[in-house]
Amino acid sequence: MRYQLLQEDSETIRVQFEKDDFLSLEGKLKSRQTLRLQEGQKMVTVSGEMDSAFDLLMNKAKFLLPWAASFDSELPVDFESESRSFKSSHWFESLSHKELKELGHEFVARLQKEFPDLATDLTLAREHRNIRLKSSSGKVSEYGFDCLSISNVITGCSDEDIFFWGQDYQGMPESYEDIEFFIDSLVQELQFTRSISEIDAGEYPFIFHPALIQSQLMKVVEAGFNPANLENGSSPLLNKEGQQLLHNSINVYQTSEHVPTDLYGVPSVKRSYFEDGVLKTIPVSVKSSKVMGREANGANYPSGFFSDLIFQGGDKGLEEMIASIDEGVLLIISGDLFMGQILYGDMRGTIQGGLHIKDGKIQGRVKDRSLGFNFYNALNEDLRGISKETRQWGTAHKEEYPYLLVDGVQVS
Amino acid sequence: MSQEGLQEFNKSHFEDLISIHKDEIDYLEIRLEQKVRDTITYNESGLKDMNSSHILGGCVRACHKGGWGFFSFTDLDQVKSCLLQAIEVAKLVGESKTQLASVPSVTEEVRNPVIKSAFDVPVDEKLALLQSYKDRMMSYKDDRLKACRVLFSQDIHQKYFFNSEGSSIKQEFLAMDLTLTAIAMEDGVQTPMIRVLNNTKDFDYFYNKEELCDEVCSQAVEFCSARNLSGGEYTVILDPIMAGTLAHESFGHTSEADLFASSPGGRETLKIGRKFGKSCLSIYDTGDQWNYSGSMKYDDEGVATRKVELLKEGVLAGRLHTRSTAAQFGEEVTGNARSVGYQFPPIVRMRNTCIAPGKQTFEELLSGTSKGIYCFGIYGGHGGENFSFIPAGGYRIENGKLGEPVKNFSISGNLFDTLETIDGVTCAEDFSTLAASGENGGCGKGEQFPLPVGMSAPRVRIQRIQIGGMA
Repeated sequence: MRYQLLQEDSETIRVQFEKDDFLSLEGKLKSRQTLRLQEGQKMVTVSGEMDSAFDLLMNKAKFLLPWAASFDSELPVDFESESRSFKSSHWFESLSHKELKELGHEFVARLQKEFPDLATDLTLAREHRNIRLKSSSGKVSEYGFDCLSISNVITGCSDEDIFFWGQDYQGMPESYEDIEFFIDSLVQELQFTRSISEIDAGEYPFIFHPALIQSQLMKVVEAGFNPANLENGSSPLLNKEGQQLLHNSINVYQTSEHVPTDLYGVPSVKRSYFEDGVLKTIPVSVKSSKVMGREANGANYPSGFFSDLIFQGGDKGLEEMIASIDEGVLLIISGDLFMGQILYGDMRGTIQGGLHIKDGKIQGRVKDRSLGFNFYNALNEDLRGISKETRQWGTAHKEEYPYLLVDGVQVS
Repeated sequence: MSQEGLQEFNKSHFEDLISIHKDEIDYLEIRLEQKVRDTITYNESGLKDMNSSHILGGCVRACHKGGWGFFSFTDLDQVKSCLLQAIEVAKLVGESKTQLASVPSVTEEVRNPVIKSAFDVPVDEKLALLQSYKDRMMSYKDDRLKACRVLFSQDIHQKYFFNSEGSSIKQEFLAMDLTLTAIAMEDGVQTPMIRVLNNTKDFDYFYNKEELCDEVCSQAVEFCSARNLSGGEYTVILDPIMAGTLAHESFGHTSEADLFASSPGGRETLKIGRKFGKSCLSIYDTGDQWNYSGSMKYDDEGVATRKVELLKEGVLAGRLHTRSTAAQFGEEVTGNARSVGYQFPPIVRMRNTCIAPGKQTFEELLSGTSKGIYCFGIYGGHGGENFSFIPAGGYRIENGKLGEPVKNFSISGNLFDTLETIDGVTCAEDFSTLAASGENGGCGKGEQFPLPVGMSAPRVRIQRIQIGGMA
């Protein structure tokens, strides 16, 4: 029998504010273990959340093994042992509970001062996390990281206008100035939302905010990379390596800077997914490598996350993009766009946080409108520009995205 | 240890801990949770996965002068240190007054009534049943049916609650889910159709579902070649799944008191007694029906759950509360304090959100619709004042009859406008439930996802709604 034991330990301190008022200070200690036990061509996965649970997990895994699903590949147990840690900033490390609370107070007070009619829900979380993969051969692949997360929901309510806004931060601030920069950009966005600006139904150019590229548009690529869709042949990305699927200015790659192996012990390496719009590779996990007839390439997906994914910035400034639009929308927040036939790029949802642009200037907030477009058209023939400015999320699992200017988005 | 793998805790240890420290602070509670969840997944090729997870953890929440300290742990040896830290932090941050609506203390052990648990069924027997459903689907008589997924999950969940007001509650729930997914393909485009079965009492409920396998395959094949729908304004009739989802996503979330607890504008907009819809429309939230996935006798603050009328005959009648929001609003507690797990404090959440049955039959609704769309099932959606949902599919309604199948469209609208144009609700015989739990999703609020909830409704007609299409 061979096994892998994946252990995740984390310690989080969170400060919460609800509608401008301080709500709570929370601490979370968490330990989670996942055991994969393989014998011959059968493998079973058992997980638990207790430090002392290894025997319990092993007993349960051994009990289930006779009935377990077939697993054609050999579970890697002889990977190279390696340990990496992500450097934390001195300012971040020295933040006490009280200072974290004060940081939240400053954030809320700034928004209160600028927008007394709005209310802010805020969560500041400081997390230390360690991920360790041990094998039955005694190998250990390990990495740790720290991260500060700021999430906020800003609400306003007047007669029949319920309003939500918010932006998330995830990173390793070097000093308070990094946080201040984030708050400034949020305040700037909110200033544009104070009036509602009507936009008629029709087709318009849209600028998609980096947060939307990360949380919504990339779901199309993820669906195409999903092993179930690759295995049953329905993925539009299957066997398309070498083909121009996106605009020739698009480059998407992973650096694997922080993660030594994927969560199955396959080494992570620097890899391009799209180079000049051409699909270069698709991620192949250990689990689906035999079915797909390909080598596992340590891309990690869908075991957890891409390792340090970068969507390369372009040559246009955001201001320049806005100025180039006769009429359109800067879309910052949307409802889930990926509920329909996402595999084929169909994206539809509501405009929850959109700014109406007319004659090259932002006019106000869009209300009661929906949008629809096809991802593969939007990021190919309809792509008009990629911004120089990019935004980053995360630390060890960093992702970086620019703004995208796209023509032909339907507004209804 | 129980057959399912659950540990028995010594309750007096936790009661004593609270008793020792309760005088140091305004309010103190300990919650413990353990859950064993086993899943078996088949796809078109055979057994795909067999997984098991065992979750065990707890948390301490303390309140002093309005300030909350909360610490969670996965090692029970840490309960005392977490309790001390929670008290210390609450004292550090408390600056005003603790406000919690008063509730009676409770000592009770609750278990949902079980006839036959899946945990008592041999693994061989479960595998044979699921394999037979997979074989049935893959032998469907149309070669456009290319793939399938049969997923079974069994979930036993135990919660302990102790507080400084003397409550000591143990609750245990069993949940079992079977999801059948059929995937048809034409011209390289896949059309999935899904059926979800949920039961909290009896594993035997999952036998003899061959006709359901045929039905979901037939629907996937039928909609494989259905036409896309053009966008525009339509009259629509929603099936119970779509209607229940609309009630939950749009109206239910707007009824959560924490949304506008400190907003004068919000309180005015959502003032009790304000008219929001026609008299045929009533919506309520309930926690006390055991066969629904959002059911429980006590919420995560130890408050008895009760039925809450949210909209009664078109008029705003109530809202959902934790003890804190009930105190802020000066209203009765409702038993809606829920957390997605021991890692989070409870916040205002729905349980089972329902549209009350009306008086019409489906045939009457149809015959009164000269032109429109009948929408069924759901791929996804999001709510709030502006909502958008993507149905699994639909049929054109022409001259009061169901016609051509259509697909690839969304419905979206403004909550307040839409409530005004709901003019037909079918009767109790047409009422059914969508269980959103476990592998089949659940409710999300902030980072607390997925919380098991139920969404129940009859069919409803909306006179005017925007459809976003692809044609």
